Amino acid sequence: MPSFILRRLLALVPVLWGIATLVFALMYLVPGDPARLMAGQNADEQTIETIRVRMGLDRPLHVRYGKFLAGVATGDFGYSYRQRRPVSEVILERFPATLKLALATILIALLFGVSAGVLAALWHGKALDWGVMALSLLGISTPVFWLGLMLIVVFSVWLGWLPVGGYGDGSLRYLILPAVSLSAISTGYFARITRSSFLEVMRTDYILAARSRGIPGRRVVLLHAMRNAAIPLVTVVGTNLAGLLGGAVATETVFAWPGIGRAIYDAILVRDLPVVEGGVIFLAFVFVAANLVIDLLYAWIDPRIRLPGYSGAGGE
Amino acid sequence: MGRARVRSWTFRIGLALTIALIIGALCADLFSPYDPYSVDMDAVMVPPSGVHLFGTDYLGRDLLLRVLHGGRISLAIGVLAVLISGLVGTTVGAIAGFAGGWLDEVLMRITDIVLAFPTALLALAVMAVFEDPTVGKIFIVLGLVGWANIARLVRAEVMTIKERDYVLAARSVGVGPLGVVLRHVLPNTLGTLLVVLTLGVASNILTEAWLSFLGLGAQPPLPSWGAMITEGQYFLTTRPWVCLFPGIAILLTVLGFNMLGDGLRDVLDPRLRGGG
Repeated sequence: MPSFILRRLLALVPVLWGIATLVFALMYLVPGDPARLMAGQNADEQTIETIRVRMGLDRPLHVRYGKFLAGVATGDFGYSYRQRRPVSEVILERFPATLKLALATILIALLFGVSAGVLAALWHGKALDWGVMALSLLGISTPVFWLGLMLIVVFSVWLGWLPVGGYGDGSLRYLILPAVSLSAISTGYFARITRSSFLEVMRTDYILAARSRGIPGRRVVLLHAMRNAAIPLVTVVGTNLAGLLGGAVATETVFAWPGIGRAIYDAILVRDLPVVEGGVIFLAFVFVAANLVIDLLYAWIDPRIRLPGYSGAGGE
Repeated sequence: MGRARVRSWTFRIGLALTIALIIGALCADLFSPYDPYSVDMDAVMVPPSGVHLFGTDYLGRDLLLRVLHGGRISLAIGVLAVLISGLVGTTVGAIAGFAGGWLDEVLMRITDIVLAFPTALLALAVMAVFEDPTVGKIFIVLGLVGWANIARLVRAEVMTIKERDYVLAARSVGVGPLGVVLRHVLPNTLGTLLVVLTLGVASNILTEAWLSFLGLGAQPPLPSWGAMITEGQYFLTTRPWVCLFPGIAILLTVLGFNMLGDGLRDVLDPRLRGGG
């Protein structure tokens, strides 16, 4: 196991480097002078020149690239033009809200997705199965930001049960609508993958054998299939995180949720690029890190994966 | 028995939804007395009725017609982006598979990096750089971020067939790598490729709507679904239909392509059946 963890950690380096390089290239392509943008409209040439030197913009490209990489490696994502403070400060301030939303979303998606998938598999071919399949197809096709708006209309405007948005006092009431709408796509995928892996296990010899010995079918399945269903499920949780973090940008915007996504949107509006790109790098890093954790979890569930060169377990 | 029925129904409903959307988007003007861009200040935000089936927006424009015109944008972006992804992915995959060695290693590491990046965020990072995000930029960006899984697929196929006798025979009589890709690799991967591309259209349409909603895609007055939802957002509490219909259009279109992709997978390649 330790050598497996080490191998996976080393494999991260080129990925993180690639992400950072890509974002640096994007920032370098931006038309306009960052120093001028930062100085504001009325600054004189002297001030702009000072800022340029202070930001290191007068240095050659490879020096700036080196400094950028070193910065990213140490958690320095540049300086916000508008907020006039380090981007890392903005990110750290907003991260707890995003983390809370993401965790609540995954919990909701797992709870509803897995139970719907299990029910569909147990009632395979019946109306319940069809209903779950139809709903999960709808779920994975939903524009989540739009679903958020519609939930606001129904539950906040018409029924008046829940607040229209904001973080409020941080209580659960404010979290419900953003998390439920953001979970639509993941819930759909989790239901589908749970259902299909359950169906697969239910057809295997050992389940058939257990059932032929007279153990009631549903209990057998629940006892034996859970562990097998967990493997593809864990993979799908990882791949879904990408969509979830992206969706969070729009969902946080809709609900005025004070997370990194909302900070990115606000920065887009005023072309505060360091915050946009810093926020994206950070969310991408979160995604990569979460997938590392998932890989380790995966290897713990299924020991075969720890072997070097093993590549046959991709559920997707 | 039950499964076969499920399968064909998924495909049929998906096909029906997709065809209905294409017809609606292309023939919208034939059935509508309105113009998607003409402002009518006497009919601002009229609720849905017999005159305006979907109601009107804040400039009095007919929403049904604008939603149908939005379909053209979504379809064009979804399909063009997928074609770019397909082209880039096939090229990278074929080169990696044929070349082997260090080139293969480098290309596959790059592919891994792109795969490890959350695609939608990557598209956002690129679109945010442009001072004037447009429809034309969106499909190129979406096309360029979505090729990695196709490259993997094509490379795997090249690796499995390049040592086969018929390919060696073809190469010995002077058929180049391009010929081998066109004549042997693509026909073999066509089924899987078609499934991946169809599902890709669905995800591209979702991403485009999301980017346009954030202001990084099609700009007003273009009737892009995402941008229409942004406009409608300000009147959400009193006139929810302005947001409702573009969203339903996105949902049904994405649903159509997802069902078509799922259906194709079941029909063309039973080995892939039942995945998430």
